[in-house]
Amino acid sequence: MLNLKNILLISDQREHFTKLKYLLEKEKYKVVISSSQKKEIEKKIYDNFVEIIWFLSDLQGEKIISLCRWLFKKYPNKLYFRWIPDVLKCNITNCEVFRRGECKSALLFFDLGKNLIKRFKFLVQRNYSSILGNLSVELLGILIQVSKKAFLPMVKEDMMAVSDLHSQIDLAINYLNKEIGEKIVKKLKEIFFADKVSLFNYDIEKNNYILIASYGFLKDQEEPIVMDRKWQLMQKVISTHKPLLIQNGMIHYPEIKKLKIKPQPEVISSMIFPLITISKKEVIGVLNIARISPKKERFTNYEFLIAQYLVHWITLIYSIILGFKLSLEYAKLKSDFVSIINHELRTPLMSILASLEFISGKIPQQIYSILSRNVTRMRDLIEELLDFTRISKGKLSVVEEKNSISSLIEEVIEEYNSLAELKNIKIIVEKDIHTDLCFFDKNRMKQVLVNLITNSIKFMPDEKENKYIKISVKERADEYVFSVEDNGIGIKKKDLQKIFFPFVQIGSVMTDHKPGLGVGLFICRAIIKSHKGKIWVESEYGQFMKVNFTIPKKEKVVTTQDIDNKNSFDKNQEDI
Amino acid sequence: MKKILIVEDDVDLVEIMKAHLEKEYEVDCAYDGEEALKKIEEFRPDLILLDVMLPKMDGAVLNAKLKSNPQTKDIPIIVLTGKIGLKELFLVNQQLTVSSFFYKPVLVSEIMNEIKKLLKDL
Repeated sequence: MLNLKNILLISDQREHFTKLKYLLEKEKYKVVISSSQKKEIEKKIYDNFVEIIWFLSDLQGEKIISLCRWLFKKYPNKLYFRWIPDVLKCNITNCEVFRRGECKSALLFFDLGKNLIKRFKFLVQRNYSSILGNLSVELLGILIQVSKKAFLPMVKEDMMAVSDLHSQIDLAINYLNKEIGEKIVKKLKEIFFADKVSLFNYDIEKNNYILIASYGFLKDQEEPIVMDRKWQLMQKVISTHKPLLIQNGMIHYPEIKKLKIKPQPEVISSMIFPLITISKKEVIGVLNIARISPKKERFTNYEFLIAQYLVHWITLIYSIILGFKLSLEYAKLKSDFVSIINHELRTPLMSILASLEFISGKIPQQIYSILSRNVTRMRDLIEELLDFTRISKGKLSVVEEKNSISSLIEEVIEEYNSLAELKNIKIIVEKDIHTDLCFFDKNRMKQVLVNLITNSIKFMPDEKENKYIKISVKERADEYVFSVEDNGIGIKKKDLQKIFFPFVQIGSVMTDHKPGLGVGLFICRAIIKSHKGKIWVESEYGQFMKVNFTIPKKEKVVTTQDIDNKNSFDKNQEDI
Repeated sequence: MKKILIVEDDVDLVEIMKAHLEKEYEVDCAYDGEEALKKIEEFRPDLILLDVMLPKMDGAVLNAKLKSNPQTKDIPIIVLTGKIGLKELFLVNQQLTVSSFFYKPVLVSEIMNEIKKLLKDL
């Protein structure tokens, strides 16, 4: 329940308002009265931590307007009320100031009684709620911005998200660390008229809290600022899990007592909050808000309350950020792990391959074929993994040269015709082109066609009649459109988007699992994109599956090389 | 017969490569960078087959040392490595480039062809 207590009544005829003062004090409010002199108002506000200000009925319209302008600027966080007991004497101008919304709230009463206090309490509560509501909306806005900017790239519809994973992750984490913190600190400075705001966040690596954003705290330094064990107030907040409100060297909350240590010099009023997660009761951060300028008043209970509420929101934002950061780091680890596996497998595979070459004449041909085929299979899997890693790091490059489309298709068919025949699948070719030559990376395009054809063969159910795979290429004004179509089992509409994800195979993991990593289509898409083409799928479940892709026509050779590959030792070799 | 030095820390791979290469060349091997330096001085190979990830001194440092020594700077070097992305290491400084570069796994016959080519040029 809201516990605002301190009221200032402004009137030049204070004797007339003793009854009002009495009624309010009966309801446990702390009431002080001041004349309309600015100096007295200022002092009374400062000395009594005034939170609510009433303009009483004797004050004239112009006086109120000028007082209001000064007060709203200097103390915008207070609740303001205007009391007029006699409707007949009500000066329209007075009411207008309030009705026009120049005040945060207004209160017109016509009698002095129980209703007055009830209505007053209600309006205070409502006002508090609406202020909190507005602040919540602002912080919610920040949270939405966080999600959009940092994570939308990760969940974009076309799922190129996994491509260039590492730099996306780095960007996202940098954004989270810096910009969000600075947005929040700036907002807090505005809301509380603070001279110093600092936000510390727990860092797992350093096992301490580091400063992620601040205003008026410490100058920008190279190394991130780590929380010092000597900063006793912040350490106290971390260990007790309770916020602190400090005024002029005295703790006002939780209990009033003198500070054992000297507070920071010049600070007249400060609030220190722990950011505690709801679930685990962990302190993931510390927030400091302080006022230094002696011209400013000290923080009132009201502001302290609002700050605590905001801290809940900020903690929520940072808990979510922490969760995301951990997921991102984990994704990076997994990706690095794939790299390491890739590397570790190569040497043993080389030993096996070399041994195989050595004995090639000395064992039965059949056995040699089995060994040879499977070593090749393993090597192809490793190369697929490698391509996947390259794509994750955004470093798949293509070398586009003038090549013949016909010979590309012929070579692929020559290699896979026998395999298709084994399963009674007919391969059909349709060409509708004028110019046979086009700029593309022959090895990579072969990889695409091979992937699509092997998929078609893999997923072709045995029972189908007249099984076929149709490879067609059509020349258009500015591109070539290729397609690989089969009358296999096809894809359901709901799975259409998923098939370009890495490691996805549609169907049950146990019964429908086909050999392979499930990255074929993912790699195809990356290759097509590197050629600046498009790839898409048409399918009818149970009937057919058609994968289409385009290769745009180019004027001259454009070699897309990754940034690191400045001196290409051998143009056909690619690096990570 | 020309002499080839294999510098590689995987024992099995060294053995099988030696079995292949001994058919046509005189072969010696070293299992880390320091041993390699010693062997190069004693054995005086005509060509070096070099892995990069080596204990005690990695292949890149070894290459730099060889290139800065007038006695060894002209020995052709074939790098054979499993660590993708190392090519740049050898290209940063033109003087440190190697003669040939393969990623594992690669057919031994391909390596043999390359060796023939490089030794013919000598």
